[in-house]
Amino acid sequence: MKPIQAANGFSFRVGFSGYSGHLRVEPLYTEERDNPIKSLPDFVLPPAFPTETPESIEEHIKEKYLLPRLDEDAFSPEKAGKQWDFDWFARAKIPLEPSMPRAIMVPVWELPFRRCKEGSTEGKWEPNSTQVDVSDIIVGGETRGSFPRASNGAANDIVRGSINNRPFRPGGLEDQSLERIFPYGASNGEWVREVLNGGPAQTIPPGFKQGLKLGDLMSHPCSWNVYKDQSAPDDTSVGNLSELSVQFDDLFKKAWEEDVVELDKDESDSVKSEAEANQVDVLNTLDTGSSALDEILSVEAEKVDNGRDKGGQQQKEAWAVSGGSEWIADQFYELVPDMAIEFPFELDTFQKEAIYYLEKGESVFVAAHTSAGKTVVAEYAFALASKHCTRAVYTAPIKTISNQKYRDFCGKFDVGLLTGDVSLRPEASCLIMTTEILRSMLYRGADIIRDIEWVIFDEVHYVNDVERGVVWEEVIIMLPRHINIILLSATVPNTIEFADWIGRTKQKKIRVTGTTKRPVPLEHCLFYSGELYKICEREDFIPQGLKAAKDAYKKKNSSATSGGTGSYSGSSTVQDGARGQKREPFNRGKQNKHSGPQTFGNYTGTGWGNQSNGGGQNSWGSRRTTWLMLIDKLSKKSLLPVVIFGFSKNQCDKSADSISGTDLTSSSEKSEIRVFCDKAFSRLKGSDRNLPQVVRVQNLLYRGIGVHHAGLLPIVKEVVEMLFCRGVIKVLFSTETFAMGVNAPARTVVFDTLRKFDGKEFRPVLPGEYTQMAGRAGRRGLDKIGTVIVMCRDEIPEESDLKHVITGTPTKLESQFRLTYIMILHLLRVEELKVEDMLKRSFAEFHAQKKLPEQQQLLLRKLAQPKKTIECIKGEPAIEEYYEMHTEAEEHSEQIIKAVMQSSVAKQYLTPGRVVVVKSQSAQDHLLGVVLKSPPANNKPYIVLLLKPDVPSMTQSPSDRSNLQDKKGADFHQGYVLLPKSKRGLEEDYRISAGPRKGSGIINITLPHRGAAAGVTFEVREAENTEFLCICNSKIKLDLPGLLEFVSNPAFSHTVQQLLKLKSNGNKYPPALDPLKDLKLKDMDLIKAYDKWTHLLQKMSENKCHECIKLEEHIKLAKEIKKHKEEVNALQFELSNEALQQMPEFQGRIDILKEIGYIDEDLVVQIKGRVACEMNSGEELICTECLFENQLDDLEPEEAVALMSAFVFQQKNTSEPSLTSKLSQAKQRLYDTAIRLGNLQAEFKLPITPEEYAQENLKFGLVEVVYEWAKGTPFADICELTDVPEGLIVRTIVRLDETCREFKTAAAIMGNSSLYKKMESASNAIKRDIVFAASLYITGV
Amino acid sequence: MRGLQLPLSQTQRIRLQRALEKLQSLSCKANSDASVTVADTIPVNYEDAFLKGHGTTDLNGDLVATVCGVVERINKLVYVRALRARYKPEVGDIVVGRVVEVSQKRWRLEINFSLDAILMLSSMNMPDGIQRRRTALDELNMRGIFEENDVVCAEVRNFQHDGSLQLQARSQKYGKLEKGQLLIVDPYLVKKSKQHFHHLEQFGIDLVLGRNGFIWVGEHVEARDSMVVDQANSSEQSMVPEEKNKTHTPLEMRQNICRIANAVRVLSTLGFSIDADLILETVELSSTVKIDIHDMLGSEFHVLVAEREAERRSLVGKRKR
Repeated sequence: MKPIQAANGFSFRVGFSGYSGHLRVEPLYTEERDNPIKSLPDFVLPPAFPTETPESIEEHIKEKYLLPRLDEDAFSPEKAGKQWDFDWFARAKIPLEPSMPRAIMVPVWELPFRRCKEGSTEGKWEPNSTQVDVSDIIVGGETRGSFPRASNGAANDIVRGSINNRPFRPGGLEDQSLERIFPYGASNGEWVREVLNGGPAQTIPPGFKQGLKLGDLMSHPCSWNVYKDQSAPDDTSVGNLSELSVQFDDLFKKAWEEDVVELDKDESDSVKSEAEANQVDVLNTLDTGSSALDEILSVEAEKVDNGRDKGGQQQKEAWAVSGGSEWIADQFYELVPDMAIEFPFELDTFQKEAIYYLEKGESVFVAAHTSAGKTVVAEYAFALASKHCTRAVYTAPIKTISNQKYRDFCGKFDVGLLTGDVSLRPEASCLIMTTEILRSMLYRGADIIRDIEWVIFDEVHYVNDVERGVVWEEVIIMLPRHINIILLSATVPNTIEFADWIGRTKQKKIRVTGTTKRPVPLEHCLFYSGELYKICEREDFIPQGLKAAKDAYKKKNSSATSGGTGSYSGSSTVQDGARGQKREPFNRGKQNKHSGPQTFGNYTGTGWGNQSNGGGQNSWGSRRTTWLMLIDKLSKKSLLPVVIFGFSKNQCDKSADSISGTDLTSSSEKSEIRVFCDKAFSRLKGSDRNLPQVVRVQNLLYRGIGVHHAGLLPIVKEVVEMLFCRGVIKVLFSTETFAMGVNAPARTVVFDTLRKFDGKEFRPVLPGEYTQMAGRAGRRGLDKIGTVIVMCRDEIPEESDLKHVITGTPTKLESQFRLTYIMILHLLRVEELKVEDMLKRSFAEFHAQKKLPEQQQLLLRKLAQPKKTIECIKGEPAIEEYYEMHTEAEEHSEQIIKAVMQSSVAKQYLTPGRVVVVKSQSAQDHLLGVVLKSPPANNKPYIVLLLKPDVPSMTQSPSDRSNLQDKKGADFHQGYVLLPKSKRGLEEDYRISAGPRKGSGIINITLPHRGAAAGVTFEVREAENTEFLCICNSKIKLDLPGLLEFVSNPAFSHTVQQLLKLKSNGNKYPPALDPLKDLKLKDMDLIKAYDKWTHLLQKMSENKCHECIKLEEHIKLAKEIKKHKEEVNALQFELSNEALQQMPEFQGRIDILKEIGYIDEDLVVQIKGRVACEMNSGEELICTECLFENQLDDLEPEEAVALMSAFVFQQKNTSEPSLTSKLSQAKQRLYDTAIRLGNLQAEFKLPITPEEYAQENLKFGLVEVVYEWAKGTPFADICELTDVPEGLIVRTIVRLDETCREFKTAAAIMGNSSLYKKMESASNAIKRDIVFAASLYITGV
Repeated sequence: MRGLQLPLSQTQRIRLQRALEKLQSLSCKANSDASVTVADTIPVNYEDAFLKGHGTTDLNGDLVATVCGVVERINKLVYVRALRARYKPEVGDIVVGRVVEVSQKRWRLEINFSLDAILMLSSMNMPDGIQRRRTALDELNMRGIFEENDVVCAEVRNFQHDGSLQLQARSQKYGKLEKGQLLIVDPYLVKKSKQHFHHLEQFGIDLVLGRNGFIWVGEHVEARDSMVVDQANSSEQSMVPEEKNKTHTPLEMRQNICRIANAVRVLSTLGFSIDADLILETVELSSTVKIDIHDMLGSEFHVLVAEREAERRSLVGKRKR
């Protein structure tokens, strides 16, 4: 027996366990030493311990386990500084390793009739227990399939999800109920205080309901004051001690006081940074020779602080954070010391930044040009996922990219591939898929989503795609919160905006980095008649180059007028043309020297043969020479390989064929190509190997010429791509497809034309497209400069056009969000995510939604405003009603006045001497005046004399005046407006005939003329007839010459007095002319309005408020209240769902779904809706209706699949297929269904025309082809049946297989086995040969 | 109708008969050949290509039902919806079940399906969308969350390939149900609707209509937080005193629970489809006629409810016409 350390010297360390920061005491055992004395038996046992009593044992236990004391070593001040800069709560959350009990006790199930009755009391069955090995249970569980992950039968479901699964909850939904709840103790610092001070001891072991009663435990007096300065070396001056000491208690308290409510992460951040800052402070003040580490720490701490502050500010403004991270690149290797993957080259700044943020677990948006190295970021995410044992998903817009990336990543990572038709290693940690697959995974709630840490979206600018852009938005909206997003995009002008949207939707900060720099700078040239004119270099436009080209053009044209054809091969071409031609044969010879004498003869033969062909088609002949010239020029300048972009499949093919005479490869390259092709095509069946396309392309390839467009068979396309990547293809004619994603840079890029056909019209190439395609120029590491050439055939493009396309800003990312039925149905299935939420979160709604918080605040403020109440002296306030009437009456009167003043009758009355009321600035205070002179023409202003309200000084500004007079005038006005009709008759007598006209009528008065007479100020000015408020029925005598000509004061005073007399009759204004009686207005509407108006006036006079003395005040109040209410209503509308742009359409679609029984009245998805959810590849409504109408019933599997091709085929204009009667009947039936659905949708006011809808979604061009294919006809034969390119046929059939699968599932839902079988056999019928040949990228060659 | 086991007096019998006849006449007009038993031929139009769905089979050229139930026709699809069978789960259904076993990382729940449903610990709830960490502590605490015989409400998540059923309770509204009554009715009486959770504010009662025919009537709980807090320890500590305070349910509340429960019982005996509105109406009826809670199960009240329902449906029918 060994002597044990005495209890008082007992050493232990304190650790933390579990989530709640419980104390765990680990005794530290002293080391055993090999001491010979120790091995000796103890003969005499000195009483090492006092005798044990129950009390002492309890004391001991208490001492040992319940009273924590700091371990001097573990918490030594030297370590203290570093001890705290980890994230406390992240640490605390680290789960314990599951401790698997080897065996457990389980009750034994007995069948009820076997249970022994006598052993139990009251017949209650008490099961026996047995000891079972845990592993048995687990294995058993697995075989029973109740383990979700190990269910072997549904392995595919894990990845792809199943329609039966519920989607995951998308991140960024601000549902309070689901927010993480932090225990109270965590957010107020209780826990840490408990650790520091020793809180109440825990008496309940985890998992127990009741614990051990230990009685009252005494509190432990331990307090924890750690003095920081001790971490400094010994030369610390003692004087510093007190000011440098930091109490941890205070530290935390401070931190929590600052941000109690902040989330866990921020909290720890703040703690951390503060601790760091403190430490740095300490270090700095002590000036202990700064080591590199300290510097980094200090910088980091500062940065963190800065970042946090900035973040705090920016959080309000933007979720997208860019900039402010220049320091990362400088200290990259210190910040990310242990990279998940090492790159053999020095990383660019933006890559470093992105990687740093990835390491921090933040979402990143990288915008950079093609070939700038965005893939590095994706690779790093893959590496991180592998390191963290999570998964990463890479999504690409098109299948080709997915395949290529699969091949690229294959060697480096554990990669799987999921596309519509292939599923390779779906269990891998890095998955590559198309975005559509990811979307369906999200909707189906695939189990694998739990494990995903990163989702990488490549080519995000694809969100602009009209047809498929919506998928990106959907996916981004649907992603659950735990997934971080990496977005890779070409440079777009509104990156920040887009990132901001994502950040807001996901409630996550998105770091935006990127570069506009090209690793290989570009040089843009024009190619005109054999010469290259440089027009742009490194983003700088060079006008001289263009000018030179233009000069050449002019020169040529002027000479061409002498009889040339204008084309290059014209008789009088300029010298360089001739030179070019001369050079051509020379160059051929040179080239053939390279390729050896054998090919020489071979070449010339074909060459000449071809030329004779070219002679037949003149235009192609000239094209051909241009191409030859270009290639010749490029090869001379060693600018090959070159990609030539044309914008149609036909053009590419023809161009390639036209120069098939040229040979650009050496013999060794030839053999390489031949071997490669043989290998690649060997996987095809015999007859397929001799397909015209395969043979043709192969022949081209041998000469170093390639073609690449969508019409090619997939396998051919892949062969071309791969050979191009190997650099053996020198010239590649391609369509835009090649520019997207496929990473195959060339030295030179040539644009055949700068106009393209986009399905509707010919339009100029957009800057974004140009940049994307031009980005293929310049191979990183191989070329110093990439050349982009624009071909000019007949004319030189304008400078502005060129400038726009080359240096212009690319198209903005714009939302293409649109509602689809399938989206609605999917969302209706889920209770927690509403369609409205989806709409709200779409990029289209982003700007409106961004403003919402402000509006919300505004609304709150508005609502919080004290409600003004009208205290009516007459008890019941009827003022609202009165106000309503008042406003209405005003509207009517305005209408009437307008009509009156514009009527010709009014003009008759507006003669000099007529008393009028003129509008003034203030609404209430109108001016009484008299017409002095009426204009000869209709639209000239009248001259009127106006009585100004009695104002002391004339210089006062009108606004002041009106303010002063407001109340009084208003009172009067009210009286006027409400003048009961009966009173009007009294003043008929005041009609005074017009004064005799004297004088010449010359106006000597300067307008406006102001003066004062009879104690009242007046003004003579011009007034439009719209300014008149009403024409009064009285006239006054005027001394017109006196007024206008001589400007005599007596005349004015007389007039003024007359006017004042009118006024003095109790009212401010004399009664107006009655529009009906006096003015004889006949307009129906007007009369109606007038009647209404008078009626309203009458009603108003009946209202008890009418006589109220406080009426005016109250009217004002009522107006305010009304305005307030309207504002609030408007704001509430803005905030509500109805304000969403797509809301009306959504309602319409919901109504349609109800109408055709996909959902019921309560929006519960019915069986038809569930079937429609399955239909991803075709238009969901037509497919579902077709199924439920049993249109496939009388068709054979081959016919059925042929008919279904209409759902997936996409080309519009094709040759008319010849169909069997049965098929054409079925076709008609399907078409009718579509028309019916179209009609229905049009009825519900969706912007759809039935015919268009049917033709858009049903394209019967390939029905015959697919029918023949399903019947087993060889591919070569079916190509003869149609003018659709082979590539499209293959693509359609591949997609058709997907449709078959969907129909199969639908049949299972409907419970129809015969349809299920039919679809199965249909799917088998089309799956064969070249159509389903595996991708070269996947299998390798 | 099916044999009601009620001691009816002569007048009551006549009244009930009349009410039921009225109901029948209202429903029969919709589809006369709606209900079928096994081996009944379902009349279909043979010229028109029909689609046979679940519960049907082809027998000597006739379409024959393989289950008892109601024939449903959607366009050309003909299928039979089974009645009075065990509950047939659909994904997304809200069910109420009773825990029968706590085993490794999962609970087994009886939900009136042919198999026990499984509620995995991992699909309990996902605060934050983060997956619940599968720790030993968690597993040990399972009994702290649900024990045997606890009543739990959850949502059907998916089917395994072997037909067994997985549940999930990934939202705050799911979880343990306490202080109330569990009623078991025929599953077909509970129609799928938008809302299965009802908070009857005037009574302060939660009503959960499980699609499997398990109906929960219990005291209203604000937020069922106690079970979802990750830290079982800390929550337990705080929970224990709380629970003690809360064990007492006021008498009035109990009476309310009983009244609503009895209303459900009456409705299920009469075979009316059960929804919150109907239950509330029945409760109101019971309180307007001032009938005692225990008398609600008596024959008089049954007759009253049947009459009332007949009247209501005829009203609704008229309004539709």
